[in-house]
Amino acid sequence: MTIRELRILPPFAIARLGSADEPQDNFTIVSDPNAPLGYRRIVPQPTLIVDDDSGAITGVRTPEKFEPRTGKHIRPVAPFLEVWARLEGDDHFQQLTTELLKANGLSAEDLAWTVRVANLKAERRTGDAGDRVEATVGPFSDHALHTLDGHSPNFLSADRVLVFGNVRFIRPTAAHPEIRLRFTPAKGLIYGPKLTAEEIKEMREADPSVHNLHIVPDELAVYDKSKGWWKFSIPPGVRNADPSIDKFYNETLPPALFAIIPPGPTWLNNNVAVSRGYLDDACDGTVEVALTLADGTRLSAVGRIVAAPPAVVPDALFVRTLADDLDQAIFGPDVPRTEDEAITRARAEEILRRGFETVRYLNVSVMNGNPVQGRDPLDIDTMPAEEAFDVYRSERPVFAPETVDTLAIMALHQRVYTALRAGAAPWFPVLLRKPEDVGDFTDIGRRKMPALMAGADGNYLALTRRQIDTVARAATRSFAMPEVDITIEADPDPALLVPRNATADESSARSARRAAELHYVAPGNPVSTRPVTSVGNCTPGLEVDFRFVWRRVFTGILLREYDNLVMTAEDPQHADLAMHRLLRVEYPAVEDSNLMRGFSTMTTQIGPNPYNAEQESVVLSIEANPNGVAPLEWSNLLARMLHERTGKTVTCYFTREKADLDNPAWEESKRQTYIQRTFVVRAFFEGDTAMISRELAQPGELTQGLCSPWQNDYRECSCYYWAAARPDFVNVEATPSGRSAGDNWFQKNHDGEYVPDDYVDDRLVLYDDLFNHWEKWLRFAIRGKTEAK
Amino acid sequence: MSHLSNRHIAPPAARAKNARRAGSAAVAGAGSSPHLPPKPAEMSWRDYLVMLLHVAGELEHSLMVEYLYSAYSMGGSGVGVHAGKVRGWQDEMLTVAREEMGHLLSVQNALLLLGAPVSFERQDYPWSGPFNAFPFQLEPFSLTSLAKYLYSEMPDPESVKPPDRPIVERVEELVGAQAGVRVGQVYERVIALVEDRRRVPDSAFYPESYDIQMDWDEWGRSYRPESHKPYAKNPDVPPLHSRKTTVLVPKVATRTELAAALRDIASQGEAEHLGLRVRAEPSHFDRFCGIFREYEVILKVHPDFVPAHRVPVNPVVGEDEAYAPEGATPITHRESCEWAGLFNIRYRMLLTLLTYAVSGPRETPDLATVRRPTVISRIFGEMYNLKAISGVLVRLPLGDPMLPARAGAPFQMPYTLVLPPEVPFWRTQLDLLDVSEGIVAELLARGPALVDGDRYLRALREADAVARRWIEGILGKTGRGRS
Repeated sequence: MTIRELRILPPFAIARLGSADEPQDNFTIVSDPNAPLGYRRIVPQPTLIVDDDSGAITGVRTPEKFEPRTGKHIRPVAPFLEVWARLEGDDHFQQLTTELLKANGLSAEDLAWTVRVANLKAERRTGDAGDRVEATVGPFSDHALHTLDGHSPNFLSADRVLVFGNVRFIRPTAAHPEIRLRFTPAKGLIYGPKLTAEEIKEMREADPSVHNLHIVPDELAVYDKSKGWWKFSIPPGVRNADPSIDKFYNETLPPALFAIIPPGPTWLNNNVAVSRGYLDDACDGTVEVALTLADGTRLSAVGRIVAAPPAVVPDALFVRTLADDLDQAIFGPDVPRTEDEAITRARAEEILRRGFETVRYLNVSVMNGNPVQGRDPLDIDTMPAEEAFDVYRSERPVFAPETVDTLAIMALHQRVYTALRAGAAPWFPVLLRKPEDVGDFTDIGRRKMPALMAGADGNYLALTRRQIDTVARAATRSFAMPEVDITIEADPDPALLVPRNATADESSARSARRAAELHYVAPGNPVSTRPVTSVGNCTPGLEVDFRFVWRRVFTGILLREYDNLVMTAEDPQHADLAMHRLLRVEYPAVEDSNLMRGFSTMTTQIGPNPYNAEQESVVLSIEANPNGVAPLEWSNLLARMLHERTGKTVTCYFTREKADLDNPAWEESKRQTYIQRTFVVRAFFEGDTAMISRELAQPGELTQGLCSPWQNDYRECSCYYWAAARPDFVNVEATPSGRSAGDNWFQKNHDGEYVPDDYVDDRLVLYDDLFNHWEKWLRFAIRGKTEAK
Repeated sequence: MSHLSNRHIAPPAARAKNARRAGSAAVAGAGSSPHLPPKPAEMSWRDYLVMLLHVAGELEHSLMVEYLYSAYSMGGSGVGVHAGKVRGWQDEMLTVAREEMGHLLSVQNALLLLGAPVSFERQDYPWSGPFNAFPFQLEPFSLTSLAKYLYSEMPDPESVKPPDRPIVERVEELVGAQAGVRVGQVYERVIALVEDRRRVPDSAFYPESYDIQMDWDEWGRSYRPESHKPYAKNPDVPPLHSRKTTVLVPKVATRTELAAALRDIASQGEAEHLGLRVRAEPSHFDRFCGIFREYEVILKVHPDFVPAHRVPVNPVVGEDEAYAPEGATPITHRESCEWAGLFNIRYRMLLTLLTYAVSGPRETPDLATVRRPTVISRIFGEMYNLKAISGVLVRLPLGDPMLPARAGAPFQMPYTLVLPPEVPFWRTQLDLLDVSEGIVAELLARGPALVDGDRYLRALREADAVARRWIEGILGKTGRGRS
């Protein structure tokens, strides 16, 4: 009975902001076997009622219906993190309870919790460590609420704080003896500097059309405006958009991503972005629990928490979620050849299902780059427009303009899904975009699936390699596959997560345990706390900016989150590599063999050759990017290496010269001229757990790339990033003519007249609308319909 | 061929003579293939060209359906250790069928350029005529059926290169005695006429049809090799690992473009010599040769090798065998019969929607544009339904469930594809949905014979409900029509 090891489950929990006093009730989403093409059903689940005074669970209630608000206030999603224990001589973990503690001569008071969270968004822009906002509480063993007071050197004083919410060690009782902590996130407030009347007047004059300029209330005006974040802008004379300027600045991708004066995206403001100095109360960090045994042995476990915006479309899942990326990190990019074919098939179906759930919320004809109400498609924020701006070429619609319509395209996806349910093998693996071909802007390249959306590298979205392989494997399954009625749900049966041969070897068994832990459904935690509800294509993301997790994967250097630039060397022996670019990675395909596996870190953006558009392509070079190279997202790029070389070495090739302002391509003929260096590949997960290693990302680092404040993201990024999480098209119905009609989710009046996205059209929700009343304007869409007007 | 067009081919005596010639022709080494019948005197040359294009369309349609049936028949317990190989053959056969679909659409564009009505018609089995290589027949995949397809898609036997000549000889052994004209011969005559300015003058063309012709962007579904990376040395050779299917749907505005398009189609199928450029990808003939070779190698080791389910020849819906046409096999098992009926309804939806997409509604072109995305989506959706139901049918009994014989996709033609006006057209579509829904309800009520079938029907029911709402929406709430 001796406790030998602790775990925190789930190892990654998403909290969601909201100002209501009562947290969101527990719920999950399930598909309806009688309506498999319909919306997922929201099913209320047993909800743990925590007494405000005692911190104990006083009851369990299953609500009758899903209610995301109390009055006008959005209910925060406040996840529980449980402690599990492995006992001496046992391979499995069991939930830690007061009884188990007692059996070890311990009590709940012997547990000590420490929570560290941070918001590093301002620091990521200014580069000033003084702009870090960090909160640490603990170690504590009591059951009181512990407020996560965020402090920053650049706040007005040590007693001015930014509140990230609170944590509480839930008091175990006889009825609920389990050991758990609850994280309740903040209200979604915007902090910032205290401005004088003159400064407010100046802000108003910057854009007189803004009649509702957000003013940070005094109690939230914590930031010292003599510091850098207030009125921060990209310093003059650095390379931003002008290729003739040759001074480097570590800009984010996309640029700016913060509230500016006057309000607007920087690219519509001559690439000038002057910060309002806003800070939000979103964060990420770690929860650590420690236990000292009677013999003095100290055990501990760590989990991660994130505070993010609400999941406004709770009954849909995006086509590529964070869970897909994490599963890839666990299992690698390939589906094991020994996996049960029925499970592979079910997962392939699930990918397609999420595909049509995503299409459902896209105004496909707009996102295709068709003219909208006679307006130039370049005026509308879409992926083909993004592509055109990126490569300095005219915009071209992706698909034949007359063939695209939301309901029609969704129905087509549903028919494909229907055919798969009959046992038809997928016939379309070749239509899935390969991760290395995201810069292929030829017609066929752009029409690959998923279409019309952006990936974490800003190019067209690709699924994870593992998702792609899942569909490919399902396509080649045997003729004699037995029939099995399996549907993968958002909260899947744990048995379906694990390859059948999971116990065949130690590595597989470890992966199986990790998957089970990652997807663990803790009692009381809504599905929106789990990675499956977090978007996976982070540019920068909504819940986390997953790009940041890869920066330290090569031990000793820190890469930029979105491209191959070495920012710093954490190991002094590699100091010479700072500002050089990592061009290629190689390693033996089989240990101790000469057969090498390798990959380049960038792809080439290509487009149709007008002379022979069908067969030939050209490099889409521009003056600032003469090689037409584009970065590839780390998650897919490194997946195989991570799977095959964790803890082992790989050989990396770097540019001979500093290349902070250049985008050189790998040239095989110059192999000998590059700097060649060996690095150990860091483990993605900590020990045997399913928690993302702290060596890869410290508190605050997984959210530092997100918008500041996060509300900016909803205004700035259209749905081509996360259609099913930040919808574009809602209340969609077929008109008598046969076309789809509906509302732009972001238009104020949901009257069925679609308003094209436009940063200055006040029929749409604008920046200050969100800063002032985000809970009003982020309307939940359930079964495709938004809340009552 | 269509019995109506057959009337124009030649008098009965001439047909009989032709048939004798066809029957006596050797496949290889005889120096000539069976001949096509001449133009009848009662037709103008333009009219004759249009008729030949109708014939070509029917041929493409027939071949496509035969190939689909053959592909879907593959599998079963007889594949044994060769499952991977058979899966490859199935992919190859489906590739050819998809390309035939492109040919069928391209023929419609040719008809439109000649100002002629489009047609997706074809005759049901058993049927043959002077333009057929063999009587139209749905049959399980076998070496003999493959030999027929090889013959149909064969270039002039004289031109077949030495490596493939043994295959040509084997084809002759297997099916030569029954063989008629090859598809390439029909295209040769069509192309010759298109290029004959004297017989088909410029005035015969209707270039205004260009706008309403089908094109690859709409219909190609990305089925063609990807573009080369920049600086490709030989762009005519598709990139490695590229998509192996190339669906051709060229729009044509001029005589020259039409001739080029027809040559491209012909050369993709069988008649490489008709092509204007060297094709880098294998022709249908090449693909079938590849399968044939592999098949024979397996047979040498495993003479009992059977790569297909035990599906019938020419299946038809009908519990009563008395009503089955001669040469057809009725599906008599009750549930299989319902599935087969469901298949026929979806096939009819596909063909009628295709006809609508190509030629209607001319009276309300704006509506045609607005409805086009949904119509195209439905067309491809119905193709997926045919795929799905075919896969179910080959696992269901043909008659007595205790016997090993399985059912198959009947591909029975609807009695008409004539396009009614807009409102009645959609009412007809509602009727079809009604009938389909009735069968689905009955099948679901009976309980699942196949788990897959049940899962499919539940999704189909839902997808059809959406389709129904869409049609009811455009017809007005009463469903009685509002244009």
